[in-house]
Amino acid sequence: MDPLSIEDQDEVDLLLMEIEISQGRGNLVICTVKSPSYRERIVQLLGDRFTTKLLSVKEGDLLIAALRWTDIEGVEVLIWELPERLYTSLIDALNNFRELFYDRGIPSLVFLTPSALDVVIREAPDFWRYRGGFHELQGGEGDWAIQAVDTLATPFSFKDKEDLLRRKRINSYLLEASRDRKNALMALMDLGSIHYLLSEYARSIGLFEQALSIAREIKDRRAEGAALGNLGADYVALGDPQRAVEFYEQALLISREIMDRRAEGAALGNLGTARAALGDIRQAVELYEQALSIAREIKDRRSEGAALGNLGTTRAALGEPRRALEIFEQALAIARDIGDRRSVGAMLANTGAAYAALGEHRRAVALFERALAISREIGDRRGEANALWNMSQSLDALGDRTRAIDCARAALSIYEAIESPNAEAVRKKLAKWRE
Amino acid sequence: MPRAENLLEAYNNLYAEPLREGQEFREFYVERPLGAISPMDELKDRIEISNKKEKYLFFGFKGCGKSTELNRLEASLDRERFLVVNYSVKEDLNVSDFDFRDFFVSMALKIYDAAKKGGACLHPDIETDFKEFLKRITRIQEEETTSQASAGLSWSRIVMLKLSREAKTREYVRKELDLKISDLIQRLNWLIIDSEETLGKQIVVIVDDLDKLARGQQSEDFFYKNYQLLLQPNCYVIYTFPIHLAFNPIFENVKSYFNGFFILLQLPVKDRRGEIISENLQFYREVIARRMNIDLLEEGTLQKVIESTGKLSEMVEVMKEAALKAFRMERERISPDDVERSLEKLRMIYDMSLTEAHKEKLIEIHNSGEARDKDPDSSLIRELLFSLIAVEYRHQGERWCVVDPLLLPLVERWIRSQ
Repeated sequence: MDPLSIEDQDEVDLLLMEIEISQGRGNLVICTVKSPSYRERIVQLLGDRFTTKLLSVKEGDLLIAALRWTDIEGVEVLIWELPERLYTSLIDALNNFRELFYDRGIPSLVFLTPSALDVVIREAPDFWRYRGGFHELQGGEGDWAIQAVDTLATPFSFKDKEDLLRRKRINSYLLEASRDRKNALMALMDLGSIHYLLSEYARSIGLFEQALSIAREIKDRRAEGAALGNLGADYVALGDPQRAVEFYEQALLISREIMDRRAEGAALGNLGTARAALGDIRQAVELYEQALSIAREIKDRRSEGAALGNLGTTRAALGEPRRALEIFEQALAIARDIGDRRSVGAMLANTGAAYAALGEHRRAVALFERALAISREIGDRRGEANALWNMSQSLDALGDRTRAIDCARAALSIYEAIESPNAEAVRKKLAKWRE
Repeated sequence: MPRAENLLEAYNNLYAEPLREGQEFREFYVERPLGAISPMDELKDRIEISNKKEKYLFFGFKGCGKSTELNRLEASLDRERFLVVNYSVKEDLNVSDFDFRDFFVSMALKIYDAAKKGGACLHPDIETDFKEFLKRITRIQEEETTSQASAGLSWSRIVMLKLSREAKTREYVRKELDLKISDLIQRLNWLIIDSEETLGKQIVVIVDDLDKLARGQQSEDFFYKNYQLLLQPNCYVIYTFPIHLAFNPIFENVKSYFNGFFILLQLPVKDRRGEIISENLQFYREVIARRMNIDLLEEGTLQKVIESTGKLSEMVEVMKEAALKAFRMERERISPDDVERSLEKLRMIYDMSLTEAHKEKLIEIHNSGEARDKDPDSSLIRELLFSLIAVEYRHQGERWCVVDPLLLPLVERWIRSQ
């Protein structure tokens, strides 16, 4: 059983006190928790202090029947567990039969997810206003891998991993066959991007460095900026955002010098991702907004989707999953519209993480599974590991620790292979679960 | 195609289509007079010398011999060093519904076909990837290509036919390429690099008839909105450029991105003051004389047809019709009257099709020798230049604009009726 979160100590004390002073009265107390396993921990604490009766209800009829007929002889507090998503019959029952809680003559503590609370406030306003205390618990929050979408300076579309590997063979062949330096530069840039997309960052860095050297030799400023920008993306993936900032800033300077708005927008957006990785969310938001504005100005849908998705990640980082969800939805629509499967995968995983943060773990798991399938199909190892890691945390929140450990181990193995900085967080969590 | 010795042969030798074959060139081609040398020699030198894959704009009024000159350029380039892909967009694309995305598909297919025909053994991944990409963006089904291939059509021909004939296919292609045009150009460049490497030749693409795009807005969009894309193919490319677009201020900006622009001048028969330019007159005489025995013309006929048209293709067409009229009248020679009747027939067509605004503008051009719209948004001048009703000439450093000489009697009539 996970320990009580330190940040919830005061709130739980307040909750226990409210239950204490409500003894013998039909007071209604509402409490939001983000995971079923954390809720179990709180229920156990309550059980240590009071005689409790736990009721799980999914349908409105069952709620009404339970309120009317449950035997409460010797019970000091009724604890209600509501599902992570509320269906209409339950919402109607809550709203229309709220007095039944009062009629039982003992306090009722209703647990809901933050996501379900949104629905209650909107659709069961009488129930919401009828409550006594309201408690919001922070514990059970996962360490979600939210993935920013980088804008490679040399983007291309591809169908799946097979398509990507064919491109790799083509460019390797052209690199060998062509004696022209410009052709070699093009092939190196493409190969660097392919290795990046396959999450082979060290190899990608080597190729972009060769490309950078040729670009400087033949004085191709556009290609120089592109190689620098792409190097930045590799360093972010390897967990060295400070180094990435240096590359992105050089790329930004060049893009402005050659008046390439697309490259400028890409550099600004990627700089935002590096800043966010360094913890400077406020500056990241500013940079993403600039990138978004340029993308819209030049009607670059791919960059627009990336900038929007990244703005969503900042909302998630600021603990605003509801706002993040709205933005991820817009980014997802663009990614689907333009057939950008990599971004679709990333946005599905991010949407899942936002739902998980709102306590909707079943829905989150379904989204992580879809993201995982896409990542595997397109050979995106980082995306695959992120989906597995997020899935493991939602499974644990749902009480399935065995599967959670399996997923975390699979994620760890990939993170270690691709030298991702996320490996450490997974190791710690696995160690904690083994305690 | 020996020189015509009777009117029937003359009728068949007088065609305005560009010269293509070696024999046609030997028998019919006339060198332009000194001072008005074809820019093709310079263009050829540039291609042979440059170590960059240059892009050129080539323009001239319709019917002044551009296609013939481009065919000559093709013939003059060393086949051991260059693979020339010379094609007309009119042949494979729908010029009344034309778009840069269709254009790049056609260019890629033309290069692919030429490379295969030239014996290039493309890397299997490049070839498969190219075909799969095109199938994806055109949504051509496997069974469709299989069934049509059994009818003897090549894979690339099937794609081209669908693109030119089916509006729905064009719609798919454009939607797909809206975001993936760089993917197509990259594949085009892979084809070019691989073909050049395996053949040991450099690819020169000549895109003819882009100046004939039916809608003005289409050609403006093609050249002015998408010129950056036109620079991206990794081979030499000569784009025929609609001359009326050169009268747009954007031209000055766009032309600087290309490595050169070449103009094939329409040779004026008279200078700005109305004096005959004898060397040009001789050029036009020679064009007719190469195709038919001059004895088949009554005195004054040749002079009349040259002075009344002042444009190469129009001169040939009018003479062809006059030959037919004379042949029908069972005469052995073409008279100035036969020419006049052909001219008058054309004039009547123009008179009916021109609006009052066009007529006013033509009178203005006739009086001033200039063709400039006061309002930059006005398309009157562009329309008149596009349809060759107004023609721009250059001679000995002077540039002026005149109404098509054929229409001068009409203009005088309009002035009198004002």
